Amino acid sequence: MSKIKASACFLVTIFFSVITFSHHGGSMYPDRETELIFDNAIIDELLFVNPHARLLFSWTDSDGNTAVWDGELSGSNELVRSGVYSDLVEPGDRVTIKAWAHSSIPRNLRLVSIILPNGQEVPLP
Amino acid sequence: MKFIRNLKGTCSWRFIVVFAFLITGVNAQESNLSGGWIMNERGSWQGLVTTESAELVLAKFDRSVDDPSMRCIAPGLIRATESQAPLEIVEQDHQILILYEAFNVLRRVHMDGRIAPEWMPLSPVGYSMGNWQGDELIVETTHLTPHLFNDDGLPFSGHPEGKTIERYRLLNNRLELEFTVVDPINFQRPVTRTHTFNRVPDATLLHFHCDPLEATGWRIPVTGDSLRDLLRWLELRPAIPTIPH
Repeated sequence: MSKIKASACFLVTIFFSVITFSHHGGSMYPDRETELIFDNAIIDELLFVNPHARLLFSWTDSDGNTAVWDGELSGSNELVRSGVYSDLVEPGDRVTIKAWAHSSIPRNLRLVSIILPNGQEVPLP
Repeated sequence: MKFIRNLKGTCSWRFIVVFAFLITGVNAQESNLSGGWIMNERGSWQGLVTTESAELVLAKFDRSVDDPSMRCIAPGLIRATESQAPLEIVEQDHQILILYEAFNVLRRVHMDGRIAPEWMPLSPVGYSMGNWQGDELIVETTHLTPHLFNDDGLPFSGHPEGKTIERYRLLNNRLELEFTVVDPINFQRPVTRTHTFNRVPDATLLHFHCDPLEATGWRIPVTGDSLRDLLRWLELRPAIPTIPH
């Protein structure tokens, strides 16, 4: 999906998402039908912590605007059990990220998967 | 031996073997919860009818700051029991210990009938007493502090008449937990849900390291410098909210 499509999906999600959410239940990210895809995202930082890990990355939209996005994952314990470790990515890595948008906080995401520089797609619990 | 000899006179050895099997079988059922478990299916609440008081609290709940678990504070009993992370049960004669990996929560279920002393303080996991009724372990928990009933912000009041009742049953190698919450302030009648857990014989519970300084920045809207945002947000973080009775 192109950056334009990703931007359009995000705007639609923001405008039409229902404001009923809860953090562990995942209802803060109610629109799971709309998967945002961030091509050529640059990793800033992976905070590998409990109760929720976070992946911060920079992404430039079709207008050339660059912003930092904030993606939530499961906690580090659950990630380790799923085979996802703190060395998953390094700052500066160029990756593709799939995620659901937060219902109210801009540029806040629930990550679904990441396509690593070697092309491997890793599901993110 | 005299008893056995008498039995031989009146009963067959086959009867004795069956009788012994039944006795040991019952005992095995009552002492077979020990070990690791992980949630297989999380049940939905049944009979959830909230009071006006609960709705008022819910309406004021700010998800971005009002969930103490996001600051690494262990959730109360109700949410602890719905964790997807493993738990371990340790059975002893006088008590059953339940260790939840998430937030390193430890519970002690008194099995020797000792009631809570008058000075027993309230706590998020309360004071639990258990007993076996047939093959069912029934645990009643009182002395609970106010805490979140769920992630959406529904409250548990900590009212003196509030309590939880757990019914644990072994179904083959699966554990079923029927969990009931009584809270006259927030729910018009008791609410119940049923979870099932799979046995994980080689479960290794991990330490749940959770540093508030790391954890609380998880949802700040970032503007380009994540660490600076995190530090700024931490300086502005609110006090721990209290849930009104």
